[in-house]
Amino acid sequence: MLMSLSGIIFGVSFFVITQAQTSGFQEYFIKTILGTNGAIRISDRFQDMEGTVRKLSQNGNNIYKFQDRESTKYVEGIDYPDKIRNALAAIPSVNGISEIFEDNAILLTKSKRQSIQFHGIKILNHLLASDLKAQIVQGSISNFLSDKMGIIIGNRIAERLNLKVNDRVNIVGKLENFQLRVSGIFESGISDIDKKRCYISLPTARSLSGKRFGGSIFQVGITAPEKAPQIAAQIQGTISHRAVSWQEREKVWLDVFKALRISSAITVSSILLLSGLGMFNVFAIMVIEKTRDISILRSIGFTRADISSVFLWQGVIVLFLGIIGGIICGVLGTYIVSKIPMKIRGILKSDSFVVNWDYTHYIWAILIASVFVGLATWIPARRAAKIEPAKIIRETL
Amino acid sequence: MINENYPDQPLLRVQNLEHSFAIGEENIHALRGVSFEAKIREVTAIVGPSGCGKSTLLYLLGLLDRPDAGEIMFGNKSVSQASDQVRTELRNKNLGFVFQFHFLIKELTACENVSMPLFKAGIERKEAHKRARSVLEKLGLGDKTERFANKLSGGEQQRVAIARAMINSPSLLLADEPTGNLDSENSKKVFQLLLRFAREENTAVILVTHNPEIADKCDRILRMKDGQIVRN
Repeated sequence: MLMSLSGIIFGVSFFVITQAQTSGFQEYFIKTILGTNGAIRISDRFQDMEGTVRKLSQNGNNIYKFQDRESTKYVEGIDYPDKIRNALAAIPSVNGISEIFEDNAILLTKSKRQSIQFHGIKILNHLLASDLKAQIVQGSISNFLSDKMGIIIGNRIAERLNLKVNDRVNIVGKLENFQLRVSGIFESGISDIDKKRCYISLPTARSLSGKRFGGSIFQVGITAPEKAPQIAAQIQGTISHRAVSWQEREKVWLDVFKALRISSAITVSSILLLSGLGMFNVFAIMVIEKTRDISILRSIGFTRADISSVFLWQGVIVLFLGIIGGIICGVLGTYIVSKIPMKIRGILKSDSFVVNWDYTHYIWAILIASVFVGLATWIPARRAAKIEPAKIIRETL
Repeated sequence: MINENYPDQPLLRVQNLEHSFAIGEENIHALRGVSFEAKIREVTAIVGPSGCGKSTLLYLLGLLDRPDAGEIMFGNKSVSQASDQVRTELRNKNLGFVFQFHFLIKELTACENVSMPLFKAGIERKEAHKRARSVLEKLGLGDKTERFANKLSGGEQQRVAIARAMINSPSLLLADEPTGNLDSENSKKVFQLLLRFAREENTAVILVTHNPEIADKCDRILRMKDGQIVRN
């Protein structure tokens, strides 16, 4: 029984710790991509040939569904950004709109060159739709604000080109080339972004590419990021521009995290399953050993329910102690894991294990443990309750 | 207590009781139309050769098993086909059972064993222990109340089993060869206890015995053979 109790404690705590880790990395990844690329990106205009966005009504709620893109014609970029901005600003859940002009260029220093993707932004708008301010590791946003020819570069670019804040760097675009001053260096933690992306002012970006109008995209921040798909569909239906939520954009990674969480939950649940099997064995043997005592109790007036409750109570006590012990170990383990140093760069930036303190992990652990222990106790208890005293007494004699 | 106000009326009436059970693949027809009555303050002995159905009859009377046919009446109440709940409650409040091998729970003390029926009846632990000690003292086991059951001698264990059967002041006390494993001195003591209990507590006692001396001292003898009462 002590082994089963230990198994429940370990099972519950490992479940909580692994779920805290996997969901912690997932939440942190989501925070990173929301802070870098926003909740919704609005890009190409399309001509809705057959009305591809359908407004449907289910149980009194309006939902929007994007049905068929085959007959839709796309037009690259946003033609009328001011109109689109005004339309987006009218949506209550939108809390930041940043117009971005994206293109490719080459950064040149005295000795090195690097292909980059520049984002022309209006910095004050962009700060509302991103976490760029928090991602600055050297220099500052105010440097960028005060210098029209400033550039904020990814830390991997800075490392490769050996650039520091206030250094001069040449940028060669499709049409023009300029000399810019490094206002800041950012680190998003997403290596693809940190080694390619630079931020410059929107007019400078347009001049570099020789495109004074159109061709930009919008990065939109919203108050409830989990509702991004619905809001993106609503935006797409309203302004006839392709709107992509972060969930759609990052589906591959989100699926990977989901698979990891489920797989770790199944793996750790096997500890609870084994503990349950152990308990089942203990109770099954106990019922066989105590058959005579059960018959005695039945003969002096104990009901079937009384007999099964003896075993069920033991199961409940073990489960209760296991859950309490498991939760305490889970909390301590999660805290300890969160302090383990581990430098992660690639899809997110972290210097230690990221954990997510979520009560639902504990509820799931309790539920799974309860199901296994409940079954492991209930089956022998039922068998004990079914013992016929006359038969046992007759056989004993 | 059943029939306390009508001492001349039979406490127990058994009519045409039939019962069979299987041992392995063999079906044993243990009782074939058994009928009799028992009154309070009366001690009835059931005698007969081994395998004649004495113990089976006792288990049916003790509501540990159900008859295939026939009727068992406590007072005016038929209990042979009563629900499990009713039978269990009757076992706790109106029946006492003494087994040949005393059937005590060895992990419990004498006092705790005797208290078990009281716990089930909802009496508090302290009160139950007090009453159990009092009964054990009456049976000459006052100094052994806190001994574990398996640390008592055979005679002492049987007296503890009798104390457990008596503790709820049952209307009917059933004893299956209560002296079967005891020496003659202890046998006499145990029988005297049962006799005194029947007289003083208005209880009907039915006991199965192979001991003719004990059977002769009973108020009535039921002789059984091949599942039937051949002499009453």
